Amino acid sequence: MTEETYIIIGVKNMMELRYNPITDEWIIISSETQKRPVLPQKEACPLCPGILEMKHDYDLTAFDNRYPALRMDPPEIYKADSIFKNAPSYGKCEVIMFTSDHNSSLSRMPIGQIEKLIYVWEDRTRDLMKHDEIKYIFPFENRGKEVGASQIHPHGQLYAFPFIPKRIQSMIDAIDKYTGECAICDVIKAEAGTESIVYEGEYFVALVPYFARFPYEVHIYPKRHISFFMDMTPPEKFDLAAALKVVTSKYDSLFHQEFPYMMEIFQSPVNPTMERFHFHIEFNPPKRDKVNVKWMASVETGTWTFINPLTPSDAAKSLKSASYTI
Amino acid sequence: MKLFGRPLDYGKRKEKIGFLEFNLSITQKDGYEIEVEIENTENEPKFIKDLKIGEFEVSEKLFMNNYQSWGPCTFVKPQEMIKVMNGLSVNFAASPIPWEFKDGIVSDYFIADDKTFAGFLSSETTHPYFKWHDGIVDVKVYIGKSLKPHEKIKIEPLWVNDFSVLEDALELYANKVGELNMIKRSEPLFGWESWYSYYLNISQDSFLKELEKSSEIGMKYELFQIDDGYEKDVGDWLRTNEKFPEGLDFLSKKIKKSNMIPGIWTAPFSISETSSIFKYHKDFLVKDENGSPIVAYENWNKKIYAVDTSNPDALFWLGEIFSSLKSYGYEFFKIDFLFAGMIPGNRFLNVTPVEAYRMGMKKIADTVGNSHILGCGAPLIPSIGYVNSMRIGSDTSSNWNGTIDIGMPSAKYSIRNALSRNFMNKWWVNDPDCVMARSQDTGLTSKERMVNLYVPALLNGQFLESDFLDKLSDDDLHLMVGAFNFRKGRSNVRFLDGERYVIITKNSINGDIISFVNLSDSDWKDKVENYKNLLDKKVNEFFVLYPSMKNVKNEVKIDPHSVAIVMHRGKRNLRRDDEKEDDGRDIHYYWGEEYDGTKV
Ligand SMILES: [Zn+2]
Ligand SMILES: [Zn+2]
Repeated sequence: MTEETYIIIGVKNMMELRYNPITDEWIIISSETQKRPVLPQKEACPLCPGILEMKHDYDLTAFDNRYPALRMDPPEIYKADSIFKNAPSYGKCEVIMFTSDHNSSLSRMPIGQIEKLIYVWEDRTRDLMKHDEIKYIFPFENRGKEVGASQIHPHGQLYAFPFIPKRIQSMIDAIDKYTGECAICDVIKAEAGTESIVYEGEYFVALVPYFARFPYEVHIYPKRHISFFMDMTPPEKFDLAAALKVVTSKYDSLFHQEFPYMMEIFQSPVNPTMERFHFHIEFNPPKRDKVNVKWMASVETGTWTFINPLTPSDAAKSLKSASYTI
Repeated sequence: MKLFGRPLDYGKRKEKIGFLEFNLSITQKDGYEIEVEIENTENEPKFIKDLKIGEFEVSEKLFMNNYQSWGPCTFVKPQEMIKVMNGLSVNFAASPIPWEFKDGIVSDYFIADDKTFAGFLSSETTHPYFKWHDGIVDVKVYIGKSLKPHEKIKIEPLWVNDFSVLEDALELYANKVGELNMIKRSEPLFGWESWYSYYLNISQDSFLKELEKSSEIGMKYELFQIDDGYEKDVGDWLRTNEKFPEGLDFLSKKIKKSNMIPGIWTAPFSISETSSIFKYHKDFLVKDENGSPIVAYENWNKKIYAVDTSNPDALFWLGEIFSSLKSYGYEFFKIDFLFAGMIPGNRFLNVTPVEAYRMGMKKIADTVGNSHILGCGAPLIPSIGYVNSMRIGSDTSSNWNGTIDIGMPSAKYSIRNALSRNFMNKWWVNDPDCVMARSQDTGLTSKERMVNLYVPALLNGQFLESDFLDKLSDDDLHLMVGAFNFRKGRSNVRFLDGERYVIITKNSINGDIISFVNLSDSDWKDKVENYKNLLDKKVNEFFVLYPSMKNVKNEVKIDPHSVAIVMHRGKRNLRRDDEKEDDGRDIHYYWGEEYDGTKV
């Protein structure tokens, strides 16, 4: 890509972390110069092989986001000499390509491809945790325009944070507060054989949790108490691939549409790691039915309290009976 | 084996029987390779029918093969078979040499008993076969033309060898045949065709409705093919019946618009007694000694005659049909009932039936050029080089039909042949006949449906679906999509017997697979470890049963009429290549095992 193919459309440049002492959380400010690349053809997919991001054919890739909110070489910051605290936007924002097949999706990908994706997530985690300043590595996928995905080509992202994000901190606090050994281990035991289970493999279980926040929320838990992709044996990785395929395939057949969701992968914090953290995946789909979306509105955003319009057991029932492919 | 009464021995020799002189040459090539040249020593032309060149004693159970697509290829006890055959009239669909069944059983092209394999490596001039009778197998060829005074003719090379594993002998045989014949290389296609839903009731409207539905259901068919039912009559291929008012041109354009390959079915060597081509061109037909056209077979409640493909006018007419279809936009030609082109009889030229057949096939292949030809109802070995893909079994059926194994429509036997003739995929893309995803209007159980859908996927031949698309449920579609991910592998098949098979698949979309196919009526217990070495996988690697995704602890139980699919669940090795984007950003390429290089 040569310089001429960029059009400079912005000049403001502000990239730093800012601390909110009222809520005790870090905010990422990212208004870096927006250099929009020009695509060779108007309708071309920038994520297809040989178009923009990938110069040649590929199987899977992970690459630095063109507009990262965090980077390993963040710009120097001006230290505020006041009550305000800020920090450099150190970290990494990567795009992870699941497959070179433009029209695929987790729900349609063969298990083998999803398995490979799991190995890629593992490798990215192992790679990024080598940097002592990285404290949390978070792979995720936004699928569908309802959750802001602009490209249909199957891909996810990964953020490597230099701090523990707020919701992760509350998970850690909950672990400290929990009187038993591990809340997820106990949930798995409690839900065994119940109607909440959407799919159960040898090593993983997918269920609609008792305390679901979103109408068709599904969690995937490893039955063994493990904290990272790295802890998974090859058979466990295979089984997780099957679980991901089943859940996303069921989502698609639920309303006969490409079901939008946010898929969030929670591993233990790094530097230091935390053995008590139980690896899990959350699917947070915004749809409440075939057409309506449940928005993150005042109550959800302002108080972090969710009102779920669908009884989780009913969601589980629908998902259990939804058809799927392995 | 004895040739002309003498045991096999390397070298050259001559034999004379009556007015024929045989020049034999036996060389050592993974066993014996035998070439025979025949000379008419008389001073007058002689019509030569079938000739015996040798014989051998065989064990009780034989592995036999029928000459054409639909016929069985399996283990046979001829003592029992001959009783079954007694009273059945053998037609040309079953054999080009039906008279041989009067006192024996024929295996065309190749045969094996429990230790010896014998197979002819081509069929360019003669029809080579083995005839069992009274515990002995005669090695024979049918020539079917007259030799001029002192004319010499070479018969097909014969390969004979002892084996310890029959499947290995078949593999070697397939390679040898492949080396000797010019093979067309093609990729298997995924498509839809009209036969097993509409049969002859297909109409323009219903075809277009299916076309529309195909894009709605999101299956990415590469091919959309109209089967039998559009034509005015068998032989009048370019004229459509009243159900297709806008003609063939119109259909192919519609298919093209949907971004699929337009495909069309014909039976080019067949002419029905009611067709206009029959009315005006009796000169195009193969005739008997009295000059009357020979009925090649009966179907559509009509007598069907055979095209004499040695007749230049008939060949020109054939060429016109296919160049017209091609000019309409068709790029996939399923040509059916091809055996009609190889019936014995009198032809325009003094050629053998096999030579005539190949003239017809060459004409079609030359005319359609790089378009795809799927042969069906076809003599197998004479078709090599002319077809891109080949039906290798009987018509399938929405019923198991597991009793009579004589090439009639059957879900069981069409899959059985797909397994027993899998080795032929070196000669063309094997077509195991259609898959059906439907759960309604089918006599198949859910396990039998798995067999119909998943075995063709695992064998990675042609994958042509035939259903009413709007009648498919989500579960039906998902079952088919699931099967899809077992394609693209390289499979070889192990035979336990005629009803139980193990498919070893490398590098399918879903990875390495071991599948157990039980076509029998009883339970079967087997162990994964018996086949692990065929996949070069370590003993401590784990396996999981599809679609239950439960761990297999070595032992597998396979229900009657079912397939048990065992997926490999070992460690994957990804290769990682680190590169830089032009603006310096990091990019990591990850590659699956099909790529070599640094492992992650
Ligand atoms: Zn794309
Ligand atoms: Zn736990």
